[in-house]
Amino acid sequence: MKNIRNFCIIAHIDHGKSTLADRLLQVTHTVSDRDLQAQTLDNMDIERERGITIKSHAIQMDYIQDGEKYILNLIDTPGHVDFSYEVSRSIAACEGALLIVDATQGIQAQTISNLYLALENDLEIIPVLNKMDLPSANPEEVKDQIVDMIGCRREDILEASGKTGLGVDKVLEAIVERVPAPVGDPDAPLQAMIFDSVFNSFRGIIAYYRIKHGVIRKGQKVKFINTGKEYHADEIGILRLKQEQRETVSAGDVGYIISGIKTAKEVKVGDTITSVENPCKVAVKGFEDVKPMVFAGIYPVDNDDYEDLRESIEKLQLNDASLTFEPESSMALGFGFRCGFLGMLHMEIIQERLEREFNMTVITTVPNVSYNATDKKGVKMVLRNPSDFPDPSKLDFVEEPYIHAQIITKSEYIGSIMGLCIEKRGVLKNQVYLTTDRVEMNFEIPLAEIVFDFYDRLKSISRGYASFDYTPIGYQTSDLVKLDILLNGEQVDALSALIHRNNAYHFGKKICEKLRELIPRQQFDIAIQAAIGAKIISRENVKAMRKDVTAKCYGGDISRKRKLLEKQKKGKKKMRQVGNVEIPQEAFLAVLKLND
Amino acid sequence: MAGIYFHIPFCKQACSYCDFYFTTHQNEKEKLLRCMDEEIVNRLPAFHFNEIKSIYFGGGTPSVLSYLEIQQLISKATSTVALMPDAEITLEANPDNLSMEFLTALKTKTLVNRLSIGMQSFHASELELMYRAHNVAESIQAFKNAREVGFENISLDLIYGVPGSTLTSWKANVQRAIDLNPEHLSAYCLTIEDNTRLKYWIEKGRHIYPEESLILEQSELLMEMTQSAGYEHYEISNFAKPNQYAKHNTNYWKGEPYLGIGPSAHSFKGNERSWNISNTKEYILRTGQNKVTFETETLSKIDRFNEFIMIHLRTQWGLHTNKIEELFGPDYLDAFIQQVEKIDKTLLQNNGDLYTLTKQGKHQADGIASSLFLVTSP
Repeated sequence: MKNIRNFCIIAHIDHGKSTLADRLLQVTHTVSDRDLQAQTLDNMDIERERGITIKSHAIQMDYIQDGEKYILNLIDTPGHVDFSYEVSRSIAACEGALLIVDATQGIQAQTISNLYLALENDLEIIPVLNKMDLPSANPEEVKDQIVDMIGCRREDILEASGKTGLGVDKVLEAIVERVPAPVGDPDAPLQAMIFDSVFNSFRGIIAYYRIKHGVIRKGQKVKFINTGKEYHADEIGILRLKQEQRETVSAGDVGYIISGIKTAKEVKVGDTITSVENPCKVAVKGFEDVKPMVFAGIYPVDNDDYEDLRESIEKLQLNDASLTFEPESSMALGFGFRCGFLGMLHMEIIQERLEREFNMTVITTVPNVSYNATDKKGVKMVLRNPSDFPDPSKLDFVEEPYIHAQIITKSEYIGSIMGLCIEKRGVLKNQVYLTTDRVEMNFEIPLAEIVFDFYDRLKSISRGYASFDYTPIGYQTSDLVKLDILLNGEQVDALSALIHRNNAYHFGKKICEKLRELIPRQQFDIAIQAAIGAKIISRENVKAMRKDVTAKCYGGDISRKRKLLEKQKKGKKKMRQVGNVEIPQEAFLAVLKLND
Repeated sequence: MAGIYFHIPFCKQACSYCDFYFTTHQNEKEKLLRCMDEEIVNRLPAFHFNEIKSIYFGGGTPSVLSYLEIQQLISKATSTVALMPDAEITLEANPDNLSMEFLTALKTKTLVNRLSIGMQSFHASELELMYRAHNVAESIQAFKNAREVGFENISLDLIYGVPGSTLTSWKANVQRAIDLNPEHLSAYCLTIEDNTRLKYWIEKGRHIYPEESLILEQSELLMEMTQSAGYEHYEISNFAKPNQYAKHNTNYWKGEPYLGIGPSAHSFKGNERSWNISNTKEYILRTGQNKVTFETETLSKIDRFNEFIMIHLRTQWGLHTNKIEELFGPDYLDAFIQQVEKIDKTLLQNNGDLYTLTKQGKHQADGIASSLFLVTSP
C-alpha cells in the first residue's frame, strides 16, 4: 500500500487537463505511442468535441522511481458545474490532486470550488502551471494567485506543458514524493466507495471503486449499503488502459466490479460496497442521492417514435443514473417524457446523445426548475411542469430554489456582471479581489434565472473572462406565475412556462416576437398571445399568406419546383398542429433562444 | 406527340429581373449552332418520336438569330422525324428585333408560324426599370408588322407586380394588350430572383416591391379583363382565345415528351428528366470532345405523382380522379382523396371527379399542390 498513489486532476475547461493526462500515460508507458489518440481518457465523441469531461474515468499507471515501483491511480473528474457531486466523490477517492492552471489565464471559478472541495478532503495539492510553452504565459502573476489561494510555497509550483511534454517527469516525481500513500486496514471488513459506473452492453453495469479498508475477492458476496442490494462479485480487477482481471483488490487501491447489475440506478455514486459475511460498521461518508435540478419535456418529432424514444432514454439511463424521466403528454406534442437533468449542460448532452447514439430527433420544451407550492389548506406539492401549476386562487405560496453563485472575472467586467445578476434577481453577497485585477463575486440568485441564457450572456458581457460555479442553498418564497401562449385563442401547453411575475411581461413580449419570426405565414391570420390566467399581456400577428404561386412552370421549371414543394411538404409534416395553426419544431425551442 | 425546344442563350442586354441562362456575347454563335445541330443528331433518335407536334425557340433572345439560322435548326430536327401538318413552331422575340424585313423572311422562308412577343409593359418607365431593350412604340409597331406579314398566331408577354405599378397602370397595360387582339397572352407576376439586378435594387431600397394586396388586385383584374375579352384562363399565367392554347407549353403540362437542345435546355421522356449544362463555352467544349452535355434524373412513382398534381392543378383541365387511378393505381387515388378532402372548398372545388382551383385557389396553387404531395408511397 505504501507504493500506491491515488490522485485526481482539478482544472478548468481548456486548461489542458486531458492533454497533460495523456502525457502521464505516455511517459509511464501505460499507453503505447501508437495507441495514444488525442485525449485518451475522454472517450465519448461529445467529450472530445466539446473538450469537456462528462464521465469520471480511472486509469492505473506503473512508475519506477529510485528503483521502487509505484502504482499511480489517476481518477479523471468531470469538468462542469452540473456534475459537481460526481467530482466530490472522485476527490474523496484520492489522497492528492494536481491543480492544473493555464499559465496564460489564471485560476477560474470552477477550479476554485473544486480546489476547496479537495482541501476539505485533506488532499495534498500539487500546483502545476500548464501551457508554459505559450508566449502569452504569465507564470509570475499566476503563481501569485496560487500562493494566495492555497498558501503553498512558490517553489512548490511546477511548470509544465502537456503539448511539448515539458516538466511531465517532475509532475510524476512530485506525485510520488508529495501525495501521501493511502492509509487503510487491509485486514478490516471491506469498505469501498463507488465513484463512478459505466454501462457495458454485454456485462451490465461496471462500478468503479476505491477500497478504503479490507480486500475484495472474486466470487465474494457483496452488499451496496445505501441501496441495500446484494450481489455476487462475478469479476473484479483493476483499471489499466483496459480492465485487467484480478483475484483480489486490496485497501488503498482502485478497481472495478462486475456483478450482473442491469441498471445504473442500482449503482449510486458515493455508495459503499462491503462484504455480506463480514460487513463494515459504517458507510463511507458523503453519500448523497443526486437530484435533478432542471426539468423539461422531451418529445419525439414523429409521434410514431414514442416507443423508440422510451427505449433510447432507458438505455441512456443505464449509464447515466442522474437522468430521470416519467411519461407525460401534451396537447400540442402528443406523448413524451418529463425528464430531469443535473443542469442545462446535462440536458444538452442528453439531447445530443439521443441524436447521435440513438438517431432520435426530439423536441424539448421550456425547461424549468422544481418549485414547492403550498395551497391554502396547507397541502404541499412539487411543481416540475407548468401543467402542475394549481389554480392561483387556491394557492397560498410558492418557493423556488436558490443557489450561491460564484463568479470570477477581470475587474473591468464587474459592472456589467453586477447588472446581469441584478436583472436575474440576484443579490450580491460579497466581492473579493484575488489579485489586483481579478475579482471573485458571490451572489445569491434563483436557480431558475440561470436556466435561461445566463451562461451565454455572462460569457458575452465578459468577453469570455468570467468563470461561474454554483451550489444550491435551499428554497425561498417566490411570486411565481404561469405564463401561457395562445395561438388564435388556443393554448399551446408545450409553450407554457413557470416564471417570476416581474419577468413575465418582458418574457411574454419576447417570446411572442420570436414566435412571430418562427411561425410561417398560413392561409389565415394568426394571433400570438401571451397570457397570465385570463389576462393577455402581449400580442403579435402573423399575417395570412394570400399569394403562394409561382409564375412560371415550363419544361425547365418542373423538376426544381417539385423539389421545392416536396421540401415544403416534408417541413410541414414535421410541424405540430394546435387548433388550425401549424407550428414548426423550432418554435418550441424559441424560448431558449430569445436573444439570438 | 412530341416537342422540341431550342435554347438560344444570347441577349442584347440583361433584363434586370432575369435569372435565366444567357450571355450578351455573340461571338460563339456559329460554333454553338453547329453544336446544337450535333445534339439533335445525337439525341433525337433515342427519344423515338413518331412526329413532331411543336418546336419552340426560347431564350435568351432567339430573335437575335437570322431567319436562315432558325430554319437550319428546324430543318435539322425535321430531317429525320416528320413534322405534323398542323405543328406549332414558335419563336420568342423581342420587339426591337421584329423589323418588317426580318418578319417577312421569317414568314416566307422559315416554318415559324407563331410568335411570342416579349412586350412586358406598355409603360416606358416600367420597361426602363426592367432594363428591356425596346420601347413602347417599337413593341406596338412590331405587333402590327407581324400581323401585316401574315402571322395569325401571336402571343404577348406581360409582367405585373412591377415596382411602382398601380392598379390603374396595370389596367392600362392589360387594356392595350387586349386592344391589339392577340390570340394568346402570358402574364407573369414579377418574381424577384436571386442574383438579379432587381433584387439588388430592392435590397438597397432603390425600388419597393409592391404590397401583396396590390399584386392580388392586379391578378384579379387581369382575370376579369381577359375573361370579358373572350380569353380562357387555361393555366395560372396563360390566357388564350378558344382553342388557341400554346401547344408546346400545353405539352409540358400534359406530360408529353420533349427534347431540349442547347445550353441549359431541359428534356423529358417517360420517367426521365435531363438538363444540359448551362454554360455555353462548356457546352461547346464538351460537344467537341464527344462528352455528354446533360445530367439525368429518373423519376420515382411518387415523383411522377407529385409532378402530375403540381402541373395539372395549374391548368383549367384540373385533376381528374379517373386519370390518377389510371396512371398511379387505386392506392394513390385513396391517398389523394384523403388529402384533398382537407383542402378548403373555397380554394379547390370539385365537379364530380374533377378538381379545379377556384379563383382564390389560383393565388395559392403552390401551397395546395404541396399539401396534396405524397412523401411516402401509399
